[in-house]
Order: sequence, then structure tokens, then C-alpha cells
Amino acid sequence: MTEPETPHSAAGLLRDERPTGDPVRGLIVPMVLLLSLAVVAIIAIAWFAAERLDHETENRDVALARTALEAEASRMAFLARDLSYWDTAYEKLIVTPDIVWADGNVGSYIAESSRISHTIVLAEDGTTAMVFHQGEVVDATGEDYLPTDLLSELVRAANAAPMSAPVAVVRYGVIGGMLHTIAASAFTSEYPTEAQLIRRPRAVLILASPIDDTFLADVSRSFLLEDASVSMSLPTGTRIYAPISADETWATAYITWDASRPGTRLLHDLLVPIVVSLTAIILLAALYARRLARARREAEAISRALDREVELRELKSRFISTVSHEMRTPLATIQAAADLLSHFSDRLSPEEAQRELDTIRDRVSDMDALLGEALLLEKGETQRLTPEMIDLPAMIEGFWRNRLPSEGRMLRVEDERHTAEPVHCDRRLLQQIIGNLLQNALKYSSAEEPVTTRITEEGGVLVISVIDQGIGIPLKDLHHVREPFSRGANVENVSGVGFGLSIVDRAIAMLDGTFELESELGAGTTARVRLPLSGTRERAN
Amino acid sequence: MKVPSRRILVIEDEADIRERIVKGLGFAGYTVSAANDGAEGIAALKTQRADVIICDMMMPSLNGFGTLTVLKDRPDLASIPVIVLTALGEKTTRDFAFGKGARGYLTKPFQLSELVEMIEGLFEPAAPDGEPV
Repeated sequence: MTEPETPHSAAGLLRDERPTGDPVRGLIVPMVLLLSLAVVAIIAIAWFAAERLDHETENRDVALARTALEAEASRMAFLARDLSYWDTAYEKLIVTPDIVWADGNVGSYIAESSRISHTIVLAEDGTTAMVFHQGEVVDATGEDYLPTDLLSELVRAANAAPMSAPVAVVRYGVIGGMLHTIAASAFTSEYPTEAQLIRRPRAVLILASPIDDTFLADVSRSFLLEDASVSMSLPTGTRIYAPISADETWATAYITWDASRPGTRLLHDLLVPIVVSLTAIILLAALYARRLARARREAEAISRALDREVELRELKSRFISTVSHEMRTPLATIQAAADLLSHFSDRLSPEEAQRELDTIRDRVSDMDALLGEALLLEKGETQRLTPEMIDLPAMIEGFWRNRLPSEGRMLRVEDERHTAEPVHCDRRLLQQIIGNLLQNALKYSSAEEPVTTRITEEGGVLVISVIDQGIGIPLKDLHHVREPFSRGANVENVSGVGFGLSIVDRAIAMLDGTFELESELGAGTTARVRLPLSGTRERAN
Repeated sequence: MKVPSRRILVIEDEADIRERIVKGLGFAGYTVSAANDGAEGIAALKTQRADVIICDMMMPSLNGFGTLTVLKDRPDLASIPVIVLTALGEKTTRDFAFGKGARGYLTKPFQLSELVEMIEGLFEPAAPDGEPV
């Protein structure tokens, strides 16, 4: 048998290219999950980075503000400490608190050298103060400008300072609703006596430099603080502040400003594009997956169509090959019979010659039947039912005698019906059913194994069972031996087309019956046909 | 069709064909015996001599493929010329048969005269040895 090679290899190639699973559908969920995770992770990282950036900016701004204030404070402290000149001034002021003198000798000096707005000189008791104001002498007590408790604190701090060195104590205070930087220093004599060291009255020099709008504007500009202002109490909310203090435990006020939050701005600027682009990616991935799935479905459909085409080709090829092969055997018999008649007619008795002629007719009839069956299967040729009364056991026995190679075989008919009345059925179809089943039973069992045909009736259904003890049908072949050209894997050299059971199946279907096959490998096969008696009767009418 | 007497063994499972070959070759002057399958044929060769074996391929039990293999492997039988007579026309079967030493190959349906000519061809001295017919 020649195999059609081309369609085989084409189908093979196509099959090889076919995806083995469903990777796309399987990937969608993990891909979306992964991308969502990526979105969350990116947002979290961006958030964290923004927070960190904001925090660092804040720290830097606070540090810079502190530095600015400290620089201002140390400038004032330096002034206070540097002025040894004050020793004399102090002495003089204590003895004679002459404002005119002070204005001429102290205030003007300071005002000139440091552009300080106010210069307040406090007496040792903390109540007397000399205030210099831009060259204009103003006589006032410290209380006018500083809260009493603050002044007391200043004095106390000054007195607590070591006597050996003029140590500046820096404080801040609000004067006239405005925060001032105050540098205070204890004045000591350059060469103090013992008595002076003990009893010497102490004076405090207060240099007051207002933190005004100009200073705040300078700070804002220098350190990128936004809207810097002075707050007298600890600011709440998001405003950032630097405490105005001389040590770490006490603050008089705070420089505050709006949070400069580049991280938050960056986050706002980045989040939208990140979310939009990731959403787009997810959408695109989903679209791609859908397209891929559709392409695969189409490829599968083409592949199935191709497989079907190949199957049909194979079936056709097998049909031609099998039928032509099965035809050769009866043709060989016909040819041999004809040769005998033609070459040796003188050697044949009239009976022998007649037998040869009969054989030729029989084989021609066989071939016609085979072709008829082939056409029935191949073209689905339908035949009109012409039911008639049939004596079933007689039909079966007729098969044995005339149509089957039943010589020397043990054949039994067991009619177990209550009344063995004739069956009303289409003769040709019934012959095709019983003939093929009997032929199979004989073909696939050995000469010494009996073949039994049992006829029973179960509630209006005629049951015909053909039972052999032959080679059986392998379980894996049992369901497809009814298909045309299909045969059990164990038929070996028993000749046959593979038509029989498919013809039986089709004929039974035409009679509205059912067909069961039971088989055990090596133990035999039972073919059970159920035909509705009423159905066949109705058809008959 | 008159030929010198030779002993022919026909191995063929189809009774219709087997009987007619036996009868026809008998009429033609050969001494013919027959076997139903390869196993029966080889068993028959134990007791009787054959000048030519005619062998079918598709048979139950030991088929033609097996029979040719056994015949070729048996030193006492390998020299008997075999003509394959089969419904199988494929080149693969033909190649197998000649590979196993078959001397002739006839596809069914065949004419008795063709078979006789092929048998006689085996014994013509001028015929090239082993040439497929």
C-alpha cells in the first residue's frame, strides 16, 4: 500500500509547530499580578524617596536657619566680648549713669561699627538700663523693651559666668512685638583686685539686634526658605521651624517657614505618568495576549481542518487500496476458473465445467456485494426499506449452507423466544447485519471453536447475539472497529476490508436498533443487535 | 500446455484458488501437492520433494513473509525456487520477496499460462539466474 507522503509530512510539520499548552492564557494572570506588584513597588519606592528628599531638605533648611541665627548671635557675642573698652564704660556708668556720656562714648561706637539699632546697658541690679538708639538717646528701663523675667534671667546668666573671662551669653527677646537677638556679656576688669572679684557689681551689656523683615528676607533668600517668619510659640502643622535659642533646652521664639517639599512635588509630577504608563502596559499586554490567543485558535482551526483533510485522504487511499486488494482474490478465482474452462475443457466433466461457471458467477456476485457495501459506506447510499416477513433461524441456516465457508464448523442457532414467529424487517439490511456478524465470527475463530447465534426477545425488542470463542478484539480497538476500514490490531493475516462492522452498524441504525460489542482478547466476541419489533412493524406499514 | 513432469507445492489459503491451481497445473502435466499455509507447506517438504514452490503472502498462521524467511534459512530447502503468488502488488512486498530469494512474483489475478511460463522459465538454461520475471 502506498502511503500519501506529502499530506502526512505537512500535517506533521504543522503539528510540530502547534503550541503544546496554553501559555498565553496562563501568563496573563501572573503578568498582570507582576505588573501590579511593579506598580505598587515603584510607587512605594517613589514615595519613600520623596519622603527622604523632603526630610533631607527640611533638615538642611533647619540646619541652615540655625547656622544663620548662630552666626548672628556669635557676631553679637563677639562684639560684646571684644569690647574691653566697656570695662571703663562700665565703671563710669556704674558711678555716674550719665546718658549723655554713654551716648557719646558707647552707643555711638557700637551703632557705627555694627549698625545695631538698639544698645541697652543694664545695671547690675537688672533694673537700670541705658538704651542707645541710632545716636538718639532714649532714657528707658529695660522693662520697656524686655520682659522683667527675661532681663532677670539675662542678669542671672551673666552673673553665673566665670569671672576670669568675659563669656557671652546669648539670648533672644521680643521687644516691641519684634524678636531681638541679644548678646550679653559679663564685664570684668582687666586686672581685678581680690575684693573686686568677690563683691564687684556685675553689669550686663545687651546688644539688641532686631530680627526684622530684612533679616528674614535675607535668610529666606540665602537658604531657600519660603515665607520665613517669626513665631512666638511652637508652630503646629506642616510649618518647619528653627528654634531661636541659646542652648538646647530653651527657646524664645521660632523662625518658621513653609515646608519646601521637592520630594512631594517630584512624587506628584512622577506618579501620574508612572500610573498611566503602567496601566497602558497592562492594557497592551492584555490586548497582546488576546490577539495571541485568537491567532492560536485560528491556527488550531486550520490545523484541525488540515488533519481532517489528511484523514479523508488517508481514508480514500485506504479505501482504494483495500478494495482493490480484496477484489484481487475473487478475480484470481474467476481468472483461474476461466483458464480451466478455456484450456482444459476436454479434461473437465460437464459437472466440473458447470461448477467452474457457478464459481465465476458466485465470485462476481461477491464482488458486486463488496462494491455495494463500499458504496453504501463511501457515499452513504441509502436504501428504501422494504420490510417483509422473515424466518430468522431459516435465514441464518441459509447463510451457513450457501454463503459462508462453514464446512466442518460447529454452528448453532438458539431461538429462545416464546413464540418463534417470523420477524418483520427489511431483508437486505437484516442479511447484511447477520451475514457480516457470522462471517466475522467464523473468520476470527478457529475451526474447532463453535459459533452460536442466539435469538431472544426483551419487551418488544428483538435481540440477536452472535457469539464466538475466537481471538477477540483488543480493548483499545473495541470502540473504533465499527468505523470503515478499522480492524482489530490482532487480525494478523486474516484477510478483510474492515467493512463488516461498519456495514452492520449502519444497517442497525437504519432499523433504529442498537449494537453492542463485548469482547475478551483470546476468549471470544459477542455481538449483540437490538432491533425494535414495533419500529420495524411501523416501517413495514 | 504440455510440460515435463515436475513436482510443484502450492501454498495457498484460499481454497477456491488453491484447488484451481492444483487442478490446472495437474492438467498441464505437473505433479502437484497443496498446503493451506506456510507451516503446513514446510511440514509437507519433510516427506516430499518439490522442484518449485508457489507461495501466497497473506495467509493465517505462518504467512508468506515468514515462509520465505524459513525457506531461505533452511539449507536443505533454500535451493528450491519459490514463485510468490499474491494479491499484494506493492513494491515493498516484491522487494521483500526477492530479498528472500524468490525467483518469480505474480500478482493476482493471474493466468494459468503465465504461471506455467514462469515455472518453465526457471528451468531454461539460457535464462539469467535469479532474474525477476
